[in-house]
Amino acid sequence: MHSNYKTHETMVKNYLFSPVFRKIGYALLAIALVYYVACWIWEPVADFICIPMLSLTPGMEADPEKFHFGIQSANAGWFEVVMTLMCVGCVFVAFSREKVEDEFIAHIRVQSLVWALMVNMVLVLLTTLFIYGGSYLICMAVYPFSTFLFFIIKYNWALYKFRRNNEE
Amino acid sequence: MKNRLKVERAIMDFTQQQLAELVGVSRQTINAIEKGNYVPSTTLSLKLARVFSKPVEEIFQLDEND
Repeated sequence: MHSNYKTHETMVKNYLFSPVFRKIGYALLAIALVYYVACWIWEPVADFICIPMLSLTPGMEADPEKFHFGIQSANAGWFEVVMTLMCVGCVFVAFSREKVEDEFIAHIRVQSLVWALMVNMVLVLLTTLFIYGGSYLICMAVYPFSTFLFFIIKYNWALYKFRRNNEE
Repeated sequence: MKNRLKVERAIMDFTQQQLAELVGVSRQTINAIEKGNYVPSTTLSLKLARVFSKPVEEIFQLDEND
């Protein structure tokens, strides 16, 4: 008897990370959460990071009547650090291969992704219709991550049910 | 879709794990196919047919609802 995962592995390995990246992703998300809470509680922690960066957008001091595109300096702080950790963490967790990957796992993955995108779009629509002002902007900042959250929950639940129902 | 996977597997005296390894899927996937919970791809269907040395139509058939 021999394993013959080659064809499916060829299909998936082009866009999925190795299984070890899932743990790295969860670690990054945990660090982001801890750092966010720390910044919220202790102001010195929030001010600790100040990384000079190049900004591709006009700064606040730009003349609003004249649109221009340029490059200017900006400082990346705690917000940029948290967002970066969240972005990378979410991608690693959501798009890492399973240790045993086959076409049914890929099927579950696609179904979960479609479900998560649709649920998230409904949330965006309801938010647009019923929430206004600064609260709307806060929601919009969260929604890129909520898509991944819905996907991770749905995918892992579907995987658990599949393995439980087909154990015998 | 109906299938005779369990019957053919019994004829060849394969366990689900053995069949899964031959065609490159997990044992749970073979179980899901046998129970009718999953319709395999064309590639997987052809691989299964090749293992049993039978035409794919002998193993998988459309039912009235398809």
